[in-house]
Amino acid sequence: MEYQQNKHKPEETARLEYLFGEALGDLPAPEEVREAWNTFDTRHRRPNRMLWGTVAVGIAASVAVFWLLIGTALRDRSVIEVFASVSTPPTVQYIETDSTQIVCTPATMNQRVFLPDHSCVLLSATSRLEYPKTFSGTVRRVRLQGKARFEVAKAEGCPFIVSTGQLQTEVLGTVFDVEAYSSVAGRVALYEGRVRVSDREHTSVKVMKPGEEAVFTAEGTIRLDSLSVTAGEGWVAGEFLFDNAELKSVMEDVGAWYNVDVVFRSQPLLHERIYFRMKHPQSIEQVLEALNDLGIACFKMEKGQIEVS
Amino acid sequence: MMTRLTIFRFGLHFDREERFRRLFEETYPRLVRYAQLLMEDGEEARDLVGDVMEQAWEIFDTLQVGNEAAWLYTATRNACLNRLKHLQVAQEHIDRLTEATEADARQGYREHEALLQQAERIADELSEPTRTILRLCYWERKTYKQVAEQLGISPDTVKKHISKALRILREAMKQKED
Repeated sequence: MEYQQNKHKPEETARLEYLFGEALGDLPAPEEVREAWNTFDTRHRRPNRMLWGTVAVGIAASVAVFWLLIGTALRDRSVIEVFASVSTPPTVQYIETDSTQIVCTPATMNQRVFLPDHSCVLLSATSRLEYPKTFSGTVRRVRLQGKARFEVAKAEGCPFIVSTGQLQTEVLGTVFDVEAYSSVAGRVALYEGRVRVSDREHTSVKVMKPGEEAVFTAEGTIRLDSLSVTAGEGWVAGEFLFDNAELKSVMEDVGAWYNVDVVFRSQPLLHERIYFRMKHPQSIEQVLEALNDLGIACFKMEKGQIEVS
Repeated sequence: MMTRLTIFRFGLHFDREERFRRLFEETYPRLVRYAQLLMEDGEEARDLVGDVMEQAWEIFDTLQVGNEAAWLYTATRNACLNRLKHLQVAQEHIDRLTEATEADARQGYREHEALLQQAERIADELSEPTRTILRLCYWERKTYKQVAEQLGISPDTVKKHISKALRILREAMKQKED
């Protein structure tokens, strides 16, 4: 057997050293692996009866998702949660991976983002946009959590797709808004051009015309409404602008802008319609004061969340 | 002609998620260990492996069945090397890393796993203090001097133990290749 240490190539020794280093390294414990899977899964999973039963790890994910659905909250039967605050950065945050760019907005701030194909996206507050650094291939796909206005550049034969958890919006050069703060429900408002919206399995597909809004419901269906009766688009101009909109939509918007939980203590109030217009004030108290002046409900801040009763 | 990347009917989707979950749970620990070696930072390593898993999820349908782990390994290595470049780590260090891990990356996942198991076995069978010295040097990246101080022995002794361990591994690998 040879025993001539010095004659061994340094690269070979380095290789052995790294092999040893890896072999002797700490493997994450099984609990950590399960935790990591839960986190990953929550981002991608949709609520599904079959899956809930079979995959135990899905339970945590499905409960988290449920909070964002409009309905009876599990913890307090007298309260209906309309918006659940999420974690946001203190200022606009740009994150880069190898191939993608991610933009996260804080509360109370819109941010304009230009995509590699010169499409323009106005990202609303409390939102996250993820897009590839270059659009190669036959599809331009971006991922959205929150709300954004898209002005998509025309590119023949290269559809532009906005994915938001459940909802998929496919366009060929148009101007539209996508809103999906929750990964299981969402909205698309179309201003110009043509858009096709579908759920990820394409079991429900609708083609939209300008002036229409598609609402993706928690039941998994897509409903088309006309734009004028639903939540307005004042956010683009830096204001709250609601024309005969349901209080539920108004408060979703207010909650999302300031990234504050919103709960309703009365079911019928959700559907009360109001006209409300106000430039985005700095403080949430100013909005609540103006809303209180309407005299149809009581809006107050209680323990860090907005209560409507 | 519009191509959609995530078209699948409901039933198939369930299988896909199950398959991916299994792949994730099997490979995640080893990928994190590998990335930790390259990044020398546990949190960075986990972030990168998370990103790689995201990519894998996207292209899962195009990954060759049976070859997924190999893809994940290569992707992790690339992600780490690129990240180091982005962090402006000394090019010299990156080059050394690239070279040291190249042979195994080329060889393929299965062979790499076999080698790791062999290295693990050898390390386990080493008597103390060689085993601890090995770990302190290669896992905790301590210098011979630091290890010597920590254990109350001379740096030369440390060096001797390392040489011994490397020799054993080298011989074991040679035997395998013959």
